[in-house]
Amino acid sequence: MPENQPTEQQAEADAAAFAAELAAINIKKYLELHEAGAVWVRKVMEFDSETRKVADSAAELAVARLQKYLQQRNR
Amino acid sequence: VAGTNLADGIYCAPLRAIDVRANGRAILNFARSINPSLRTFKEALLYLQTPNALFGAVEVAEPVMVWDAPLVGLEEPLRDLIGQATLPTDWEYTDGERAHILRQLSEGLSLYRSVYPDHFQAFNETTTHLLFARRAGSGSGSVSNRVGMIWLAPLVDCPPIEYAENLLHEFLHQCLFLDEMVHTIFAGTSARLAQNDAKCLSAIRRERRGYDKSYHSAFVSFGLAKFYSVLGHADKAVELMPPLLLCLDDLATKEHFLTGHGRELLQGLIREVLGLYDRLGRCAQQK
Repeated sequence: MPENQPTEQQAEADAAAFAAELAAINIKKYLELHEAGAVWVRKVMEFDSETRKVADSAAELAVARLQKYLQQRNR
Repeated sequence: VAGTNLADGIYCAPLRAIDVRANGRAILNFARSINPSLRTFKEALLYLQTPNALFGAVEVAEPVMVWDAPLVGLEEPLRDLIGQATLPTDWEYTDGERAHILRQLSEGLSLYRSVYPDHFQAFNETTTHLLFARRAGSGSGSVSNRVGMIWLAPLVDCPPIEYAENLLHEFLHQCLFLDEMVHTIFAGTSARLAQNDAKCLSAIRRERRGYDKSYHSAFVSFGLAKFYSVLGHADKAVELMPPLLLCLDDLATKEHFLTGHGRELLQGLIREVLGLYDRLGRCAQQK
């Protein structure tokens, strides 16, 4: 092995250090962006039957579109 | 193999206990680089989210239950969680109501633990506080600047299974907050994602909401569908499927609002949901 070639251990350590650095950047950005907070409140909902009918009939179409989406992304 | 058994765990990133713990370690390491005296992930979470640093030590083993948030300095987080500038006039539960809620909640927690033991452990490792406050028309809530805190607004006669569902629901939001914090899922601010061109159908509320809200709803809806499948309530899982599929279709069409990481997560979720949809359909045919 050439002398300046990083060992597997060194490569792992470098990758971990890079991941930690990236996480620190992301965490700082998150804390800054979310200082005011975005709220997720779960409301008690009554679902209307008309919406459900439309959703039921559209679901099969959505399945086909999602399968196609995955195929395209997996190419 | 992920997604082959109705009785398996939540094998969908970033909702798995393993994801929560990895993100927790990254957050603790980052917080320690600022304050080396921090010992636990929960302390790190509260320390980073100002002004929570004032709240001092938290229980490591399980969440602290808070019935009187204003008295213990937690009114501001509670108002943030409820999303209101002032608390409702009837927010406080009476002693009798608290006792009843605690009994039902305890059974709900046991149910959650029995279905997803490792996930429940991660819930306990992450959730710093459960804050109780009544608000008509709402069941529970989470907010992105109070990660670790969960607000519960149960009806007094709420059955244990609904507590389990609400706790799981809210914890799935927390899983996504943590992943957003460490890896970044969305390619825009919450304000940008709330604009009309970014809105998508929400799998839970079944109305058009901001991209981030609908993205969360898809993961939560999937988690709940799995939960109900495991409990043998396939009918409830089936009911969640049509809006979830439409929501995913909408999210995939507008995937430019996601980072590469956010897209990978979305693709993983779509695979899991299509697998679950297929299995639920086959189960229904066998009956």
